[in-house]
Amino acid sequence: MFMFQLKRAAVYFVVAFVFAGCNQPDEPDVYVTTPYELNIPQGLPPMDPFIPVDNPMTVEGVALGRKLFYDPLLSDDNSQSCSSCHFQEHGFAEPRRFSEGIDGSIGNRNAMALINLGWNQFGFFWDGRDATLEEQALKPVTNPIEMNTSWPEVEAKLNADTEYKLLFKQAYNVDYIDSLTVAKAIAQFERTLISGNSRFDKWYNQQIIQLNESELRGFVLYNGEGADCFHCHGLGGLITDNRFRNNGMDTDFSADEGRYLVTGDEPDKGKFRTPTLRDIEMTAPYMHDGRFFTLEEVIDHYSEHILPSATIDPLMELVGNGGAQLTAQDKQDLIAFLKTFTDEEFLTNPEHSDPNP
Amino acid sequence: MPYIHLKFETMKKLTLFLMLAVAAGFSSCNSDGCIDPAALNYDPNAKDDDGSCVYLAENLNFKFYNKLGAQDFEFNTEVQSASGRTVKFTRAQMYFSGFAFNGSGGAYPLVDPHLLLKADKSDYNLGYLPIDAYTSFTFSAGVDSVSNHSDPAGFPSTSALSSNNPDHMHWGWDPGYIFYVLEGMVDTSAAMNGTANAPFIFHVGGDMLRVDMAFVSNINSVVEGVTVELDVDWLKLLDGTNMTSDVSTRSTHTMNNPSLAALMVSNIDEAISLH
Repeated sequence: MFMFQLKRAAVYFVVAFVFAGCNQPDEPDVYVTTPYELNIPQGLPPMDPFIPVDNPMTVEGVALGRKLFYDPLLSDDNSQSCSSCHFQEHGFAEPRRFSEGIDGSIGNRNAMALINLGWNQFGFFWDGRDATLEEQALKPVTNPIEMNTSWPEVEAKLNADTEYKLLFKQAYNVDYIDSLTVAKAIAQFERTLISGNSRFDKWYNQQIIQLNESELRGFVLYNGEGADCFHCHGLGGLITDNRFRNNGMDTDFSADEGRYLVTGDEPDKGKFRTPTLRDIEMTAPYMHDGRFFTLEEVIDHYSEHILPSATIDPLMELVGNGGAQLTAQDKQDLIAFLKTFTDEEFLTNPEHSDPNP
Repeated sequence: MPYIHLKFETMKKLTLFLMLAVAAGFSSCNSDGCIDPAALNYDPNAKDDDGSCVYLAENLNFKFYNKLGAQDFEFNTEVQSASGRTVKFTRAQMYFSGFAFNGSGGAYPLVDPHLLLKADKSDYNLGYLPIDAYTSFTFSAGVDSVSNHSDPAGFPSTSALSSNNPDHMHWGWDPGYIFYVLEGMVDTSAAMNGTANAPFIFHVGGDMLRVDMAFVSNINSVVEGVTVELDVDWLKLLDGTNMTSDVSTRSTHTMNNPSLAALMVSNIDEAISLH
């Protein structure tokens, strides 16, 4: 009975709508979204459990996020977009040590690669200060050393743009474009930045190619106590545990206290998020402050230059000897293996490039 | 994720239902049975109650009192190990599996009997337990061998073993799960008068290093639920070690240093006790 009433109400509503429609020929029902099917390579887990229920992946949302990612409209003087510091060919990382903001200001951290972020459960940025991609995406816009504008200004620009008005209506059914919806769209695009089709994957996960001898020796070093990379970076999937660790680069953390700045806990001083090693060949410079420009320098650090401190991670168990003490051959093999994480398909994927004409 | 949770709950109830259905099948010809419509095995054809009614308790909870010797567990707090060395923990967790409760109807195995105990967390829920008076329970420290060789991505996301669980511990290849993880810092000075500044690591696993445990305890599972209380002394797990400047005395990943792994595991039985 109740259902019948509902149906009848729906009929009345449609009839009313048709009559009303005569006066508003310019207002078609444009909010029809298409679910976006993530293409998840073998070896990576499903992303569904990590996608917020209030921001499901849609074709329209992803396309809108991509357009925003590349749009300098998000900065004060319309000179910088997200892509000004996150370059696709570099795994969406920043090849400069520190990024330059719109007025030339310089930060103190290297812009992180944007790879497989949809699975990160431990917070974003080097210190994990934002819990979700949606929260993270709000920050660079207002950061004085980045885009240096305010959300009301950006919202005003977007709402004055008829194309964006339509695209937001289509993707999110909103008449007014606000910051939270902008962040949602960008987060959707970021979730599609999936890298999982490197030579490593074709060998380890798909078993369709073989690595060469040097790479295989490097793998044994990576995955055993020899170089002992796997404890933090893992194997097979994300190639990071996304945890916060002090890897023995400094004894004094006054320049950047890392995770401590977020938690205020003494044992968090000098800890930074473990980055993924996917596409590591292309994401130089390395470490939170970009102090190493080559993989050779990175390996030298873990081999000989690990420094003890109160908060050093116990997994740096060979700190007493300065590190793993690798031979020149070991280092060469390890770097050969690390380069198998380079995913050409990801670095050149046309679906991730600038869509704006 | 609610929908997965729902599926999982349904599965649990379904399993129990099937067990009961089989039991009911044998007894359906006589008119004795469970006559309480609120019971899981309510038999509408039964006339006389035979005392077989089974009810689910709301919750089976575990409460762990995590300790460092006499004091409560805390990360990054310096304490003295049995060998007199100053130690502090930075990470401490272990898997338990195969929980079963022995009651009037024999052993009742839990539907998802896996728990990942973290030293800084005391309360855990293990689902449902039929209402009954239980006299003992058993479980294993470590992961049962079937689960240990299963794909971590194949478990429901609510499971302690799921790769979706941010704290899950798996080696990423065939040896399977890391059963026990202890990480921290230790004073390795010969005079034992320094500070805890050298790392120690115990990453221990493998089917041989699972420890079966049994506890005799009267546990009455009632509608409101039941809480089982255990003490875990994490410091005791280091008994018998003498961690020096030699890394092999304070670092094991099991296969590279099996004797140190076995030494730590030999303490598990004593480290876990009824509260």
